[in-house]
Amino acid sequence: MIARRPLRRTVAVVVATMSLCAVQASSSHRIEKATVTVLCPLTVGGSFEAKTTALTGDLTVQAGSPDGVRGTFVADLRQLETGISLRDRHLRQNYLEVDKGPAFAVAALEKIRIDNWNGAGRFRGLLTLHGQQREISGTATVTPDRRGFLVEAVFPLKISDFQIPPPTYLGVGVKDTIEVKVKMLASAL
Amino acid sequence: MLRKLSARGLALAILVGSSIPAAASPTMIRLGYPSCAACHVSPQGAGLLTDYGKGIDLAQSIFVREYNPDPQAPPRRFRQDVRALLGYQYTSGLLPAHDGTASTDAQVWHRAAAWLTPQQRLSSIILVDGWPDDSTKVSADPKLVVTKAVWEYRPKDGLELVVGRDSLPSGLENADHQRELRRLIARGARSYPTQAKLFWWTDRVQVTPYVFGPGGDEAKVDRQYGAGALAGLVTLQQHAVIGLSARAARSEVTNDRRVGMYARLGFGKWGILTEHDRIDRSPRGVDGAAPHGYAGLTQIFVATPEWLVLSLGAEYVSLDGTGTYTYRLLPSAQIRVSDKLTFVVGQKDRYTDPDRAHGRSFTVQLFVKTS
Repeated sequence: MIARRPLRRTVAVVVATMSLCAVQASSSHRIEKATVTVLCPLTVGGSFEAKTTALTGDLTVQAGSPDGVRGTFVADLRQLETGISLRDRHLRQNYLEVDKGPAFAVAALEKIRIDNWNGAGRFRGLLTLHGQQREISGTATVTPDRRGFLVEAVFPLKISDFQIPPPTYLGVGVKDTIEVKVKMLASAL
Repeated sequence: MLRKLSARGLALAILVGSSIPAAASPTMIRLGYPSCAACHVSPQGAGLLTDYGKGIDLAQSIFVREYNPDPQAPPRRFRQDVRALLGYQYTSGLLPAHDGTASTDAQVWHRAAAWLTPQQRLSSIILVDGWPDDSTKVSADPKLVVTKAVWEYRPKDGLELVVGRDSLPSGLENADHQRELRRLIARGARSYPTQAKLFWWTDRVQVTPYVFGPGGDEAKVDRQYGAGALAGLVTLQQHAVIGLSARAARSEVTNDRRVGMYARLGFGKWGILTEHDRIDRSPRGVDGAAPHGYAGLTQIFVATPEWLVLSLGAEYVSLDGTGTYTYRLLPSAQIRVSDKLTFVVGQKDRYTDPDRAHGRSFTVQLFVKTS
């Protein structure tokens, strides 16, 4: 029993390292578990969160370019939930205007570049939201995992940059700068 | 026999008197509302709602609908509503030989706020209390109580000065718990003293210092003068407030000191509210250490679906040195039918020592609002 613990630890380290090496060479991954949380601060203080687990995407880390990712992350905005159903409806229909077409129903992140594939670092990418495309950047922590890697990314975005109407309700508004947090597990294919 | 009867009367008074639910909604922290100011006219919460608060109130009802005030209308200079409580309560004996007792309850609040300027307003709450007389179980004459009469000045968002008669601020704003502390430990302390208090709140901190004096309706020996403060840190992306509280008061006969901590945490559909205080009460002019009291309340709640809030509270109050303690277990369900109609069903189990008594009350309450 005593001897098993170091052995397990060694195996885990080896698997994680192999996984990291696989990422750094060229490998394909699929998002399996993800949560997108959008933190919306209110003009009167306080905030609310809009959350979804509907994040999908396949990605390939390009060989010879360890910080370049080919592929797209897609979040289904029709599944964003804030904890109040009426607010969900307002958010989706009045502000994100998800019924206007596919370009409005989802948010897509592509051309992602991550500085550090093992630990904390910065990332940037091209976000398409509300029919508008803008570059975004933030922080990302990548943790190699035996299944692939875990990513926790945070980035700010300005609502006005994406031509989303300023969200207000009965005199209370959402501040222009909101924060997006993404947690996901990308499993090796 | 007389002793037994008075104990029975006290037991009933304990159960009946503690059955009024809190009017504030600190559970809204689960949705990222760490302070009351987003939805309530007053930063202390309870009372009248802002337009936004009305919208949220409606949005969390069984019959969800939009709140659509006229966008062209000028800002309202006067708001008022009437809130009524109709309650039924069944109480089984705190003492082994005691039979169950049924009682009804009716209370009506008139709540009003008038804006003198955009920054200044006068607010009042008048309560007509038709609570039955516990000793005879015959309805007493309705009692008129001014629970709030204040001048409020908000020079900017996040800062408000309040002067007048009101309930004292507390960490959880749980009226039932505060009433229990007054009943068991700080006897004579009034519900609505005259006070001046300052509310300062940001995304990171909430600070409320205050001073207070007699409310005017207490006996001379119970007239208290004192000061206190609440200081809370807002954290976990606006989903938690963790704070400290302190209060000192003196009357002709006692010195009271209270220090404690509180926390309000909520994450989506659930949360925890907790408040713990050490309360020292010593007779003035008497040497030696006085017994101190401890009081704690922890409440876990779940809101799923939005219109149903289920909660389970556990309360503990003790008076060290006397060996007396009281536990209460407080399950309840709040059903928000519409913005005007709310049902509350609750049970209160009370255990006391050293007499090892157990009492239970079951309440059904219907709250009706006019707007």
